[in-house]
Amino acid sequence: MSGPRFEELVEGGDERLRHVHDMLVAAGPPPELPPSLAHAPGSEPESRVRLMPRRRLGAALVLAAALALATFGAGYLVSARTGPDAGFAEDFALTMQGTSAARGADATLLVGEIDEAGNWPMEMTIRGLPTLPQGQRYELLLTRNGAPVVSCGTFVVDGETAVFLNAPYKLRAYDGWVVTRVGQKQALLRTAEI
Amino acid sequence: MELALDRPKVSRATAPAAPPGRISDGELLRRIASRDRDAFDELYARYARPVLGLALRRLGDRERAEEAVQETFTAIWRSATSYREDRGPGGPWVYAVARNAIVDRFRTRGEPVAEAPDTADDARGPAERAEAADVAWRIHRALTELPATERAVLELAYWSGLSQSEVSSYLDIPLGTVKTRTRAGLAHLAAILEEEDLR
Repeated sequence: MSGPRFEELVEGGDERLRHVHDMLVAAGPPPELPPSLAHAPGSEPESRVRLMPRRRLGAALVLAAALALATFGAGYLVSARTGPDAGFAEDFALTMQGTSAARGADATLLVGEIDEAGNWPMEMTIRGLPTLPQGQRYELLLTRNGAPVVSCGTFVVDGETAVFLNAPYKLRAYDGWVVTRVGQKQALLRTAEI
Repeated sequence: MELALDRPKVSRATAPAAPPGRISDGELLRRIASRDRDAFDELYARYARPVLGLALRRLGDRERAEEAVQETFTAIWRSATSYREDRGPGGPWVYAVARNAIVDRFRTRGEPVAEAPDTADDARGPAERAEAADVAWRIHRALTELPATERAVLELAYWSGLSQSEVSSYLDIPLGTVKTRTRAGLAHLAAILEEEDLR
């Protein structure tokens, strides 16, 4: 279990604080809530809590995503064939929100049409992530069950930054993207499910 | 990490400085019992992530863990009238409800599958994993009681891998303030956990 060294955080030994430090390192971060759990069950102030069965809820989310994508696609068809800055034909777009480890950060991910070789070109615009020390980088990864699985490339930022990346994978095998610091598991930015 | 899993030897419990205006968990449950939707949303905001973390570690499966979270809060909404404030604070009651929901998920679907790769430690056995889950629950729950300023520096230092200087730059506050908030945050967490042990 890795984490910061106690001596680097707190000057002067204090077993009481060290114990809490060890617990924080052992616990790791609490998981981010998926979109399906973003809000408390039930929506009407006076309603009884009635939950949609998980499978129906999943189907509803897929349907909602499909409708959103169709709406987006229709808008796309009547507008330009390429994104404003991407330089490639845009297939769909997603937003990424900062997790508790990067509150206030966000990103836009424009995903281009897949090429003949199987690459999905992407342009990501990142806002609110801190500039990293020399030699350190961020990484965009596809997730499965919310966990990072395969890399779509690394990058650095300096203020609002746009980078071009690539996903040479079958996107249907994954459920989203996260941004981490290279070598760390904690997600800093996360998309909704795709 | 053995040291991390040992409970502290409690010699004193300094009253933690709760964020101003914070309503206790017990009071929220009392309001939920009278169908206060805002209180329910507040309790959900405090506990959804700790409950999901607990369920993920215990069940090792994201779908079942998410089901357990939904079942936990459904049960809280349904059963908040059974909470008695004079028998103890609200946190342990929520934990008991969550544990029951997780056990129910265990029973209905058979053996757990492998844990998600960003949270698993496959070298540990069930007992160690259960103990680690309890440690995580206690820490994640206690963090919800910290002032936001202290919670932010701890989360960035521990879980984003930022150095103190980087936290200072990221939050645009002096390095000395980062150090002060880090120490204060750890001290508050210690006090919250110690107070919990005394109950």
